[in-house]
Amino acid sequence: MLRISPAVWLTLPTLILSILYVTKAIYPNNYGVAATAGATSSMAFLVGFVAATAAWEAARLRRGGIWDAPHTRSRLEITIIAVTPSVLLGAVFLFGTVVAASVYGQAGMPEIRIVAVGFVAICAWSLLGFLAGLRLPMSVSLPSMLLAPFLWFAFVPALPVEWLRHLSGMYRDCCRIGADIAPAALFAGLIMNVTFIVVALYAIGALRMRWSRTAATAVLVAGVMISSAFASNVGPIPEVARDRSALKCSMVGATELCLWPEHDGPTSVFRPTLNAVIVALTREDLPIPSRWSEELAGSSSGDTLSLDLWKSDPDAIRWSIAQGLAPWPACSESPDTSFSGSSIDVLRGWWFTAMGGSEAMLQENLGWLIAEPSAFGVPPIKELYSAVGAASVASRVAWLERLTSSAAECQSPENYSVQ
Amino acid sequence: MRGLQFREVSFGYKRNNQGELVVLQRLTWHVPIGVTALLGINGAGKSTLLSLGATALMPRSGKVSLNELDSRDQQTQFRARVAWMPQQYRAVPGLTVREQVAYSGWLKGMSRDDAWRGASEALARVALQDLADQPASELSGGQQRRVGLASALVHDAEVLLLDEPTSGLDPEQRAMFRELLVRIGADRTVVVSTHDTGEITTAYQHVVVLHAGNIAFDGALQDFSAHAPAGSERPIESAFLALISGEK
Repeated sequence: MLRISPAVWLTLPTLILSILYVTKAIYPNNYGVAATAGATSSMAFLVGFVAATAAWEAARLRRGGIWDAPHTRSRLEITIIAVTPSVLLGAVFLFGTVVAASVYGQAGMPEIRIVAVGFVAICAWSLLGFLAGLRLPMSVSLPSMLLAPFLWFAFVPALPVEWLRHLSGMYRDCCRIGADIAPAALFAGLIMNVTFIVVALYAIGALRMRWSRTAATAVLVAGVMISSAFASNVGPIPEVARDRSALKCSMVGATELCLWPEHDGPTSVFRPTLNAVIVALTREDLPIPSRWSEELAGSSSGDTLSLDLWKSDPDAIRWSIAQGLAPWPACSESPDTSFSGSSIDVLRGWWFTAMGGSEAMLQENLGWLIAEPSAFGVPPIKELYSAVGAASVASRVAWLERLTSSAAECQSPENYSVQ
Repeated sequence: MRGLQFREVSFGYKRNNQGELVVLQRLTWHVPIGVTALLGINGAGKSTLLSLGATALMPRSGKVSLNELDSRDQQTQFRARVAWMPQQYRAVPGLTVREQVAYSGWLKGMSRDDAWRGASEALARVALQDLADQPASELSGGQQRRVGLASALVHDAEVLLLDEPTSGLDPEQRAMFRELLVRIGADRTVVVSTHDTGEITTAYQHVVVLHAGNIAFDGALQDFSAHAPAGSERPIESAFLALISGEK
């Protein structure tokens, strides 16, 4: 059966499609959990092919009179053999995308727990497709099985009920490098998909249970309730803070710098770039936090700069630091505020320039402000940065503190010039 | 007792809001080894009886057994010993003839390798080896029935239940089928249902006539022919008509 299954013909094109897809995705470099989770987003449009090919196989067995004939093999065996090509198709593209994401993101070992739940989801949709193929005319089962997984994996996560997204087994929103996949989200996805498998096997007739119909209904209700209970405590992003003990910390002058092991390899650019930045800013006597750490902002405290480094590129690292040194103030979240935030962009650009950031990156991030500063109530910023750079240390620090405190209160300064 | 047995078997089909259409009533039959022709008019219950023997249907009451294996309680072992070719044989779309037959063998519990080997032998028996790599669903009706026959033969069952296997076959194929019956019926139980009395030849050792939900005749071919009026040109047909009309 395997060699003539449509699943076989679809394997190569879907693999190419999925690899192309993941290479366009954005996730933190060098972090296996994020790369693996990002790769599972391809399930939204590829699981439909898995389910549709399983529906195709089931329709063939039904049309060939196989399903209701008296065989020695159990329906479970027949089902497993029939859906194997579809499961293999799904496995090839899931593993393909995960490997591609790991290689493309230089992320090392993929996160096996996420792959395992994704594989269970593929098995579940194969069986749901097989069930549809047995029960519905092919003209209905094929298109509905192409569409249903897309709705489940792409449309449901877009709903305002955010925890629903964790039931599917696809974790595209996970994870910053300071975070790990939330075990509750994994359990939610696993339990929901196992529930799908059990109920589909029962509906197919491949699973005999005592009090079958009642038991299958009970499994469905219990599965939905338990997985929902797990998912509802997770929040919109399925992540939890990583164990801080894994951080690798060292002193750069008076500043402690803590990075996750994935960003601290011998070939990694993160620590050398951060060392150079700390040295440069310290030399300029600029006020910087005494601790720089990649742990999540929520788990850091006091005089700590929380680093969110997602790309293995010195300029991107400098820009991330600038964002951390000039963060959006809490008052900007208020619906009453009229704070435009231009002063924050001015500050970020200045920090970036002070760290030795490139002209090209500055242009890429603040091109709009450089081109038309007056439209945003700021002076020409390159001239401003030159003037601040040429000022005395005390004037420079005073300028920085004035803009920073003004921004912290969601106020735009009337005068940007250095005194 | 050895062999396929129906004991006090009753069966009916449920009809929407019209109760049950009783087809078989307390039927008891010990199927003999050799080739048996199962005769009956349309709707007599021939296909139902064979379906019960193959466990495609389950009796409302009574028992079907084979060598002490109960068709309900020991279904897997029972099914492994019985082959059934339904009246409406349908090929799985996309499978070649060889794959179709091998798949039937696998479904009957054969290993993958044995099923492939068995498929080649079964196709040779029905003279379809030249079409082994053709898509089964693209064959003619008669050729597809031979694929169905090969699918029934592939796992070398003790009992073969063939439901109108010759319908759609041309005269040459029918002759070949009769030769095949002689070969396969030498050491096993073969039941062939038909309503065409012209099919009954010396290839059959036994005849059973199903009428009004029960067995109207069960005996050797010669005894069956004796029911025909003297001087009948077509003794089998005459005997059959005499039996179902209640004449001697």
